[in-house]
Amino acid sequence: MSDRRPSIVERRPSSALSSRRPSIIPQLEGIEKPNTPNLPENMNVDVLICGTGLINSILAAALSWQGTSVLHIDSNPYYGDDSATLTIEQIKNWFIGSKFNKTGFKNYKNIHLYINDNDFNIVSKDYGIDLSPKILFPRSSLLDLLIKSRVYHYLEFQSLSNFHTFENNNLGKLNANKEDIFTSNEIDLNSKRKLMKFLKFISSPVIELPDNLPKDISIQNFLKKNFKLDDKLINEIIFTLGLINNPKIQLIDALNKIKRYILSFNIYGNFPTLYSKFGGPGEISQGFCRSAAVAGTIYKLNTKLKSYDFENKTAILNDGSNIKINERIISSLNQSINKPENCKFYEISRIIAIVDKSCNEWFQDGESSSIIIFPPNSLNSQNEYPVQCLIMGSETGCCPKGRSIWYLHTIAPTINDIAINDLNSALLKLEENYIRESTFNFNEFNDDDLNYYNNNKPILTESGSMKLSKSLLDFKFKFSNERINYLMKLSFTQLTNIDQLNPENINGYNKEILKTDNNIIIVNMPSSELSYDGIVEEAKKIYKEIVGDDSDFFNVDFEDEEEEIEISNELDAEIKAEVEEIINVDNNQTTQSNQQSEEFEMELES
Amino acid sequence: MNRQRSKQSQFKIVLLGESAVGKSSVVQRFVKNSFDEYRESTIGAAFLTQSIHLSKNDILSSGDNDNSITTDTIDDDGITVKFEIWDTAGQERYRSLASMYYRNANAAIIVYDITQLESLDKAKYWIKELQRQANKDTIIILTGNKLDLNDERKISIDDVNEFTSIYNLLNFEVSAKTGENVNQLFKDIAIKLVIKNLKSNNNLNTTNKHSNTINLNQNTNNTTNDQNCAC
Ligand SMILES: Nc1nc2c(ncn2[C@@H]2O[C@H](COP(=O)(O)OP(=O)(O)OP(=O)(O)O)[C@@H](O)[C@H]2O)c(=O)[nH]1
Ligand SMILES: [Mg+2]
Repeated sequence: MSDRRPSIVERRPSSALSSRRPSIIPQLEGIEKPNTPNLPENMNVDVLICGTGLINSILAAALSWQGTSVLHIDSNPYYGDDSATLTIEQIKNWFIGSKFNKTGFKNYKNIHLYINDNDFNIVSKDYGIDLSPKILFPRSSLLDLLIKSRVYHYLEFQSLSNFHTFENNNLGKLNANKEDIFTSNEIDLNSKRKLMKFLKFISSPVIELPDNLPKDISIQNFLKKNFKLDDKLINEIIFTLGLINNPKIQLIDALNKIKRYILSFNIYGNFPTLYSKFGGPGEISQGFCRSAAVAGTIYKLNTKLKSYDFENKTAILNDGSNIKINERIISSLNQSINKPENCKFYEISRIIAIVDKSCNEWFQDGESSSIIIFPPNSLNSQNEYPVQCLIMGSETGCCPKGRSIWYLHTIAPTINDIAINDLNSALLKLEENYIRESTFNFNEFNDDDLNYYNNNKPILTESGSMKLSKSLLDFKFKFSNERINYLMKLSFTQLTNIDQLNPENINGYNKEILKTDNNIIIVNMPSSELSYDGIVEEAKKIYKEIVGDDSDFFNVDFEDEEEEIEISNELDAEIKAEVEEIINVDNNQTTQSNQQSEEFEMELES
Repeated sequence: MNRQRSKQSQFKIVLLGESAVGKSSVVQRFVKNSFDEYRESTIGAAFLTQSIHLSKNDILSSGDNDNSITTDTIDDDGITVKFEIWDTAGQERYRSLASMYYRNANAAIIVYDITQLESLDKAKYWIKELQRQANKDTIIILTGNKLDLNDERKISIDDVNEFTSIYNLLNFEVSAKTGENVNQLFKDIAIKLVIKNLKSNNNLNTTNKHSNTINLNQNTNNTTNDQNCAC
């Protein structure tokens, strides 16, 4: 398709006097149960999209802003498809649907669901559970797209700073920001030096590998030989900061993954990642769908494709409507009528648990989520692959106070229960560590409990030592009693068509376009990538296939741009001044600490 | 990150109601103080913001103030309320409104057209839907629009009063065309929300909703974030 379609703005009737589109809502039958109206007869669209997962939703928005007419349907009564954020009730329905659904493609297996509704009066809509949770790097193509498309208006983002690594039965936290390494008491000076050297190497604009490097040297050996880092630090750097799933990853790929973490600091503040409040990909999908609707995409949930006559370009939906498709159908695999040719499947196993603990101990002050990584061989199950965990507390809007959601996943194979054993063993370690940390309450100490003498060493005051002994007593007492209760525990294996061990798919997507024999484009299923990397690239790949070129992907001149800026300018000048002041303070702080670390680097070189 | 915007509260308002009752027109009147006789059905204006200033007296003399809020509670120069106004984008047409739309809405304005009998039935449906899906704290305001067409009125205010008193909702009649009552509608909502927050928090940092939210459009080094990750 070489001709560009007119943009949405161009397509809008120029004359304001053009007659109003009639209301398509039919007469109400009653308030209790109004019928869902039917799609117009002889409906005609350029593209039909089935499934409202993240990639499909970005495509719907990109295509309709470009001028393509889109009908977007989903067989579920909610948005998000494979990447939905669900309430407890919806999880129950999803479970029944995925387990017993005999039509369509089954992309989930080994599904088990436990809900303890008797002990906990669960209010279903208080929970937002992600089927495939993700976190956002500030320096990433999705973040750029959220801003460019203005979809970020619909969302709220919070920072996520704490990346823990499980090692020797303990959760350690590596501070990988230059400033933090400086102030950390946990790392000795020698390691600090080595770490700084590595950080300097990895933050340079182009990573330059030494010439004399043995061919196919692993990232582990590279860090050991070239930077003399110890095993503990190596694990933390690769699996925790790099969020790498595959222990046999190629060197340069590994370095790039680690680099994205380092580069993401100080874009919005002193933290490496963000997540969207109230749910991850499910929430962002809804944002893009809303944007698509603004640009004219028609939405109908609870609706699926029944058949597609490729020759005559007509699609029949399960609501009986007959749609003329001018160009293409795009579908997620689980909502497609048939499978693509030559498609192999790979596994991701997940446990999602809702527990009766706040888990605040694992979060940084003012935050409500953290990452915990179990590197290879750190578990009793002798795990070959890492287990990645995302912990979401109540301030994320995903669960009520005093509870939290634990997401665990691994790409370990499911044969001989390897994956589930790894996951369960990680879950057990989370429990043990949580109980140990939470019962020893350091937060109870305040300034009055400590005295600082001239050598700056804190000494316990009388009130302080009383608290300590009480705390120790409680500790002994609680340790035998305290336990973690599960409100919900869901485990399943999700299939993906992305080979997660193949270096070509390192960014979470692949280059081919999957098609069924009747020319339906099939969107890749979510991969195990914990960040949103690869999502935009996958959407662009399909966009290009349809439009012929991706140069105008979201190249939108928003009509109301100036107006909106004007309005926000009207906002209290006082507030603006306040914000500016804050930014200045931040900038000063950053420059200060940069100076500090530069000084350190100089010291290193000299 | 944890900085609160003192003296300012931000609230989310959503609009719902049958097509052509004048939802977008009401918003347009409030935000831009203008009106289009021949407005296109909204594919979507989608997202607008507008601030409104409340004086100290506005709050103290409000009927909602049961004297628990005293002159010391409020700053002398009053309170500025910023509304984030969400207009439907057409997703409701086939019952496909996203949960994101209702969620966390501080107020929902349900609009009907006083000259269209069935638009009130549709409004009642939306009220039911909100009570089922939205947060129980969401204030619901049933609003009759097109007050300028009083001669063609099909829905009497008494009928509506009866309904709203049963469900304990606010009601209003406005005209987006003449502007009658539109500002009053938003001002009343602002006062209600501010008082509600003052009562529950007893401080002015009303919504903690935004307390640790990162504004993506405001990165610390103020450079555009257009270089993608090298990986
Ligand atoms: N006489 C009169 N006409 C009005 C008033 N408000 C809106 N209209 C007209 O009613 C029609 C519909 O107004 P919109 O604001 O587009 O209605 P809407 O509820 O946003 O409609 P959808 O976007 O389709 O859901 C337009 O032709 C307006 O000019 C009013 O107060 N009085
Ligand atoms: Mg409208």
